[in-house]
Amino acid sequence: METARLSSWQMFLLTLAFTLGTSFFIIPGGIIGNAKEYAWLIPLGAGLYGIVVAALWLYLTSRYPGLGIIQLCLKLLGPKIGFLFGCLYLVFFIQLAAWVVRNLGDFIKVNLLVHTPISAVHLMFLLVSAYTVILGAETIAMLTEFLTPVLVIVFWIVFFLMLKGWDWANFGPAQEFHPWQLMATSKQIFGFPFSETVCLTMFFPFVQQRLKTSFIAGIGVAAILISLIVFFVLGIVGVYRSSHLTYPIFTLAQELPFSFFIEHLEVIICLVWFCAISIKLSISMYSAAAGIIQLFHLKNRTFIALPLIWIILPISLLFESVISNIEWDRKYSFAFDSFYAIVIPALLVIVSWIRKKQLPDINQA
Amino acid sequence: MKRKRAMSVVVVVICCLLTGCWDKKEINDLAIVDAIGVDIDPDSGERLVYFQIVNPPGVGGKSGESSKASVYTYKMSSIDSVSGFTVFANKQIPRMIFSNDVQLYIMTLRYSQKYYREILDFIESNPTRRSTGYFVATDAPIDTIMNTIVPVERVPGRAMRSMIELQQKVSGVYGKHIRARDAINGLSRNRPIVIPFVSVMNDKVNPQFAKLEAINAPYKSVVFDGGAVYVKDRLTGKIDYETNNLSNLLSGDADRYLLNYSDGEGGIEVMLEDPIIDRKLAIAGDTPILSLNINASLRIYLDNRTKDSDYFDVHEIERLMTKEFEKRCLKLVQLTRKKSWDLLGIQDQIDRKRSKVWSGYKTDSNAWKKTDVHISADFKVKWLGRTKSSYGRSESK
Repeated sequence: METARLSSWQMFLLTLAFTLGTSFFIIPGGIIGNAKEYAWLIPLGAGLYGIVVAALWLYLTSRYPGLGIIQLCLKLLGPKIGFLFGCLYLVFFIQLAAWVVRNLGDFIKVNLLVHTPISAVHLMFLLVSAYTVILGAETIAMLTEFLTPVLVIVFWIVFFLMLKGWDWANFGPAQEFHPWQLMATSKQIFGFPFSETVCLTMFFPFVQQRLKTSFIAGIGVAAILISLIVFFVLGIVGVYRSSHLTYPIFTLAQELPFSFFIEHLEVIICLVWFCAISIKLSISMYSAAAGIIQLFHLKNRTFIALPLIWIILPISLLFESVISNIEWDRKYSFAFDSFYAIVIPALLVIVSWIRKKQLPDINQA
Repeated sequence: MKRKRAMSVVVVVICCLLTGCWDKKEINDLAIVDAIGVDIDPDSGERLVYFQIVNPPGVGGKSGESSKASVYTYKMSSIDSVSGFTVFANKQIPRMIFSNDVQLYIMTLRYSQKYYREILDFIESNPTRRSTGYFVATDAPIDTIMNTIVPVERVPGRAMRSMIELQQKVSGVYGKHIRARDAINGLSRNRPIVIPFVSVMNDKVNPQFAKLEAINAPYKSVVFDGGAVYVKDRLTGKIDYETNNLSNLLSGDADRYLLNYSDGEGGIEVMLEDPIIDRKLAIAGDTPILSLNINASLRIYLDNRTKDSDYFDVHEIERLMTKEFEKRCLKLVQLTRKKSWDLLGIQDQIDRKRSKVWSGYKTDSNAWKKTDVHISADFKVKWLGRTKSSYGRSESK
């Protein structure tokens, strides 16, 4: 069992980087298509939902300090049923890593390296992430601590330069505001990325202080940043056009009206995204590796991280295309993620209450 | 030792994965596209596309190389697919088409009447092709346009881009929203997009570079002449230079407008600069009212109404120019209604209204025509030239 120590600042940045990771690039096009000019409100609503769900996990882990979600399954549900639920989380973390790497592969294959096999792109990122997994949670935290502030600052500088192209007419014809209907049509964002943060519960045991504040602040700030990004995309690219684009931020950066001789700043935006994706991939791979260690009582992470690559790689190729990925996301993401984010944790909370009730009875007997 | 060996294996494996193996782009293998022209063959109905490829040695400044062409134009035809133009380009072009920095998309009016949406999709779907290139329409034979060199600037696409941008900056004739991406956004709006219209000064073009030796610069050169008006994806007519300038100014798309006034014998010429437009759309009774108040500064270029004077009569100039401007605005409003061009973007503004009182107008696509437009101006003379008064008009003999 690893004995890493993370500060609250590192936990905050891990949460922020994980939540923003793939979502800030992929989410805008989809939710603008559904919610039109109100799309910027959706991440705020979803962030609020993320915080409520996070409170459930924090409550659960606060009853058993020092244990991650898989260890909690084993402790509360027993070695057999607990093992089964632990395995479900393991599958979830592996699946998550596969999706993350596939999102990246799709983007690179479509926009940058058309002739390069997608699995080669996946392999490059998986190798780097596997290396950080081998080095451990502290390394991932330090990497995030080093990269995230730089990435956020660089991204927003480039983004503010794009404001030159702002046009209020881009918000398009005013639609009627039906908040519940809008939330229902964009429910996938409640799953991806806000429910996925359940992955970070594997890092909870390492946080020394102010876990609750750092985790909830990470989710909250990420929601606000995604909302701002969507708002900017609406104002610069427009409702009509961005609802047709797969990666509106990339297009926006490609067409940055900055000056005639400084162009193609999409390179910077891509680098920011690749770094953010690598962090998210490392976190989900680490969670999977840590889960294997806890379930099978293994010790050496190296011999887990490297074979993980060969499990994640084929799973990442399951989707046929970006469209099938988007369709799956739209139809099932919320339900799928909710099972791991709400159903199992709620079950664990109920079991913990029952066990607590039973304990005094046993003591009295 | 063991660690070193393991590292060597890792390095070799990673080297095998380097993306250069698949996606390498050698600069010498690229055909850099400067401009793309599209047309329809009037006889066969085939789509025609012209790729104008930059020839770097021809663009370079070395004297020995100046005789080489700066660009080469390739003509391709296809009946059934627009994508085939790039996919099968190598039937003619010995290099890989590189269209990341296309400066200009030139389309003929007949092409845009049939394939406007298609060309927008074609531009937008390719991730390497940015939608920031300017759109230009023409009714001249496209091969003439594509094979015409603009003197001074050797690369035609870049030359025409410069001409558009200079007109945006100096005269305000072309607004900010005339790129491919604006045409895409225009599909969802009621305000027409005005695409710069280009023609050729002399259609007997000599495609050879020998004409560069001629001193008569505009001879056989391209010339911008107003714009082609597209409502959503429909070509609806041509707009002249001055009207386009005025409509761009009133919509906040341009910040300059050359205004002149004549009293028969003499006149005033001023440049209207830095306009601040106060725009309000409201309902009075059953009628929507659009109020536009334009505050702007004037730069006096000429005033030769009077004989020799000590100072320009700035208050009189302001009064006359305000009156003249309001008169022209009224004429513009009448024209927009007559031609069904919502150049002031009134319907789009109505559509953006959230209040329920507007719901009836939102469903009526002609609500903008029923809107009363009140335009008022408040001009102040701020800038003069080197003189504080005019030398007066010429004495009649």
